[in-house]
Formats: sequence, structure tokens, C-alpha cells
Amino acid sequence: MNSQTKKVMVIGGGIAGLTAAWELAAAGVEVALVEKAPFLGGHAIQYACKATDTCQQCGACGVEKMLANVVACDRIQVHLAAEVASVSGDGPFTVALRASGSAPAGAGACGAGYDADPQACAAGRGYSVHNGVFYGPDGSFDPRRVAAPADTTVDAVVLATGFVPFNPAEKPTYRHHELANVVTGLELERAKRIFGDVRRPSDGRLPARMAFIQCVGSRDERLGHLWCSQVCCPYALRSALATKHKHPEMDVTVFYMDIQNTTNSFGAFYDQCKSALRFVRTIPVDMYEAPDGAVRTRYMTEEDGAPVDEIFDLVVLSVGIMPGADNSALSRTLGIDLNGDGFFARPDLLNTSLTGRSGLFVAGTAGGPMTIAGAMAHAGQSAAAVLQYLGRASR
Amino acid sequence: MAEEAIKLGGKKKSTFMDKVREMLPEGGNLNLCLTCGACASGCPATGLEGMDPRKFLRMAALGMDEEITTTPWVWMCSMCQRCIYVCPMKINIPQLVYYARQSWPREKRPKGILGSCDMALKHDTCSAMGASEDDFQFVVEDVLEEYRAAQPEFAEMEAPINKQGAEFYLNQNSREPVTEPDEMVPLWKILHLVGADWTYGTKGWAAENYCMFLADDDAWRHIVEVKKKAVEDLACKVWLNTE
Repeated sequence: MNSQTKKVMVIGGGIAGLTAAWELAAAGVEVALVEKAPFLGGHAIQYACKATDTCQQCGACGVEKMLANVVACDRIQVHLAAEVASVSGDGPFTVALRASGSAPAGAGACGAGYDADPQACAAGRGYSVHNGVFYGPDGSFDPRRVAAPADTTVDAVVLATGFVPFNPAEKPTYRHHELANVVTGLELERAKRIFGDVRRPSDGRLPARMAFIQCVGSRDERLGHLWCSQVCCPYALRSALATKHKHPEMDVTVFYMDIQNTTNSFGAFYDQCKSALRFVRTIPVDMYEAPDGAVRTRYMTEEDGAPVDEIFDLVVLSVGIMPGADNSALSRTLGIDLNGDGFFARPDLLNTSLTGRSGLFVAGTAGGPMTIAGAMAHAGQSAAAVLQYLGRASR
Repeated sequence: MAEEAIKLGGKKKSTFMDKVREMLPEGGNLNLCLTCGACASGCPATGLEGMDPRKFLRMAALGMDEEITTTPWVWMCSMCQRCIYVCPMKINIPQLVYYARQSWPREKRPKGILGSCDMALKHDTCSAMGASEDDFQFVVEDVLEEYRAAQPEFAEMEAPINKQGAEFYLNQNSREPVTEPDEMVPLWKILHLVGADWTYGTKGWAAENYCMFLADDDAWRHIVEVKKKAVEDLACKVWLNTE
């Protein structure tokens, strides 16, 4: 590195942002890490481990490790509950930050102890012990660890603003907002992380019959989402397999149209899934209330084409990865394009961390669907591209 | 890499589905099926005659024209359009079913639908049950009088017929005046309570259109035109068809 210390802003503190920040800091660069939520880790920090008797390589623990790295790194200055208001300059850039309006849940969230309200308490603690350093004894931000939003001048910017999970209200026949025991994959993961096991939201009991419905909101011409989200098969199958492993008596069904590749060992993994889980190659559409909080659905059997009704205690909608809610605003603020799907455009096929504007880079799902491992690899590529750019810019 | 795409030999047979695709905007998305089966899960006719929407579309895509154009399943479809509503690829299965109906010789189409269409074509009332202008007027006036007498809070209620220049021209399914006359009254009450300016007409009053279900385009069009003329002749602003 050259003698003058460079500074980079990473927008977004999910797994891609954490990885990019840490890689850059490890190379001697000062990093300002800006996160809209009052905790680091994004969606991925809310996912649970999906190991059976062996690791299934879901990547969830990697998020914890990366968060621990970032928290321990003194070259990374963290702004929580902050967002980008404006960007000026052409490298270096002056970025104005402002409060995002989200706030830490405060001491009240955990005042009565974890068991009194585990969900609020987990959210209040940022879903991870590593986020604890950001909060003071009263639950508000510790000013020594969380920098106030301020104008910041940086040499480059990495955009790692992530995704939003598909909102199942857009497919109303699933009645996610009406039926307590119809949940999204993200809600299932969050609950597993908080309670340590699968629970029905209505009564906290373990379901005896659980169903996953794949491709909810993805590969959908009607909604303008023609992409495969790439993560739903991996997370749903791993989650289903881990649950079945822990509770062999549970019936676990996966409704699907086709199963997308999950890992290098996909063949062996899928065989394992097929022996442990029931696969039905039909997507159900209607959900009805059944006795005792259960959910009745109707689908067509593959074998004879007859319609059947079946009851499940818990239905999990495998929702996919949608473009971030702020993408169009950020695209205007930063002067970079979105692609037709609403993710940040990545015009260079050989280096998808480049945005098309010099000094601005993209990392992770801001540019399109990817897994935790994929997002980490992409953030690494992005950090390398930033370092290359900084080396050139200094000459 | 090859300069040009590889061309397969042999002439592609024009199939029923290709012909339907040419008639529909965006080709009805008929070749976008991911075979997810959402249509079949949501269809009330799934399993009847060993058929369901997914299978029907698959068979059409495979060029099984003989089976597609002869299965009586197309007549069990209620044309509710649930399949296209729940289809993630917005595939126009209902129109495929419609054109499959149309491929049947008219006289071979189901008796009930055929007879109802033909009956509607015989009268300017468009009633599939053959109810005449006088019958309809008599029943409406008779029922109205009865309710006005029995329910004092609706003593002022009206059910106008052929009221020139009314805001709404209201159609009425023949089933009510012919078999369940009391069932006309709840809607009258609502219209009365909201102060709507509405009317029935002796011509074109019947709401149903079995010619549409028969997939007889000319007859369907004729029925719609008779009703439209009735609305225009009374100079009504809004045509309310309850079907």
C-alpha cells in the first residue's frame, strides 16, 4: 500500500458488506461501514444453523464469524441506523449520511428477561452476541462504538445494500397475513434461531406435519420476477433435512416445480433429502383454516391427477430474493443503473463487482440473488477490485 | 462456434396450440409453462375425466390435438379463470379451453348449454329460459307490490321497467323471475336504500349469456348487441350486468 491511507465506504452491513469491509481493512484500508438497521449482519445473521449430524454448509455460522471479525477490527468505523443522503464528487467522494429512522429496541425489549419476550429480546440484541458491543447498559447505542451520521470523504464506495425477502401478501391465496401457521422461510429461520427449534407461531408447539412450498414470488411472470432466487432450494432443503434429523417422527413435505442445484455435492445431498422427505411435484395455491390451528391445502397428486386435500400444522413459504426497497432511490443518488429486474446493473460479465461508474462497486445481493457463500465470494472480488482501483487512483 | 443456428430437418406440424397462440396477445404465454401445477391445484375441475389444466396444456404442447379437441373435460371447465389467476407465468389456459370448445361441431356441444343459447336467440329478452317480455314485467310488478305491502319500511321501493334516461340499466338472470322471484328483492332494497336511479327493460333484460359458454362467437356477439341496444334505447348511462 502507499503511504497515504485510503478510506472506503461500505454501504450495507449484511454478509456482503461485512466481508467487503473486513477484506479491505485487512489490506490496510480505513472503512466506514454504514448500516440502515440498528444491528450488523442483515438478513443472514437471522438464519439458524442447518447441520444434521454433519455440517450442511449453509454458511450461517460464517456470518457470525465475519461479524466477530468486523466488530474486533479497529480500522472499521461502524454507523448503525444510518443511511446515505447524498454523494458528491467523482473520486474522492463526499458522502452525506443521515439517521435512517430505525433505532435500537432499547433496554425495555429485554427488561423482563429473555424468556418473557424472546423475539423482541433477540431483535433488541441484534440477533447475535457480537452485536452486543454496540449497545450501552440501557440498550441505546454506545457512542464509543457507533459513529454518528456525518459527512464522510472516501476514495471509493462499495454498495452492499442486499435484498428484501419476497412479501407473500403479493400472492394472497397463501393467506400469510391471516393464518398464523403460514410463515415465510425467513420467519422460520428467525424463530429457529430465537427458540432453538421449529415452533408453530399460534401455540409454540412442535408441528407434526410441516410443508415447504417452493418458488413463492420467484420465477413469476405475473409479478415481473422472472429470476430464480437461487437460495430457496438450498435453505428450504437444508432446513427441512435438519428438522427431520432432529425430529424423525415429523412428516416433512416439499412442494416444488423443480429443485435447483445447492452445492458441489448436490447429487448426494438430494438423494439424502429424497429418502428423508416427501417431495410432491405440484405447487398448492389455496390455504384454509383447519381445526387446532392447522392449515388445509389442496393440490393435485402426481400419480393419478386427482385433487386431494391435506392438512399441515405448519406451512413454510420459501420466499425468494427481491431487489432492495431503496434501490431506485440509491440508483439516482449514486448515479448508477439498475437492471431490468431492479437489482444494480453489473455491465462487466467478467468482473461483476463493477457498476459502470468509476470508484463505485457492488457486492452481494444488491446485484442479484446469491447464497451466503456466493455473497462472501462476491464481496471478496469486490474488495480486490477496490484495492486495484485505489492503487491506480494513487498513481 | 457455429456461424448459424443448427436447423433441424423436417416440417414442423402446425398444431392446435400454435393456432391458438397466433390468436392471443403475447401468444397467451402458452409456451412459458414451468409445469408447476398451481393451475391444477386451484382448478375446480381438476381430476374430472382424468384431466386437469396442467395436463391439458402439456397435451396441447405435445401436439396431441385429437385428445385436446375431443375431451369432454373442456365442457366441465366453469371458465372461472382461476388457472390464469394463480399461474405464475400468466398462461392463458382459459382461452385454450375456449378454442378447444369451439373446435367441436355445434350440434355435438352439450345439450344444456346449446339449448340455452338457442332459446336466448329466439327472443329479444335474451332469456335462456324463454321468459317473455310480458312474463318478466308481470313477475317484477307482482313481487314488488307484495313486498311494498308486507314491509312498510319499503313501501316506497320501486322496480322501474323501461324508465327512460335512468342512470343504471340492470340485467336480471332469468332464474330469479322464473323460479325464485323473491331473490330479486335484496338487490332492489340496496338500490332503494342508496337512492340509485335504475331501471329494468323489457328488451334484453336477461343477464345470462350461454352462447359465450357455448363458444359460439356469432351468437355471443348477437346477444351482447341486443342487450346493448336495449340500454341505448332507454338512454341509460351505466349497464349493470350481474353475471
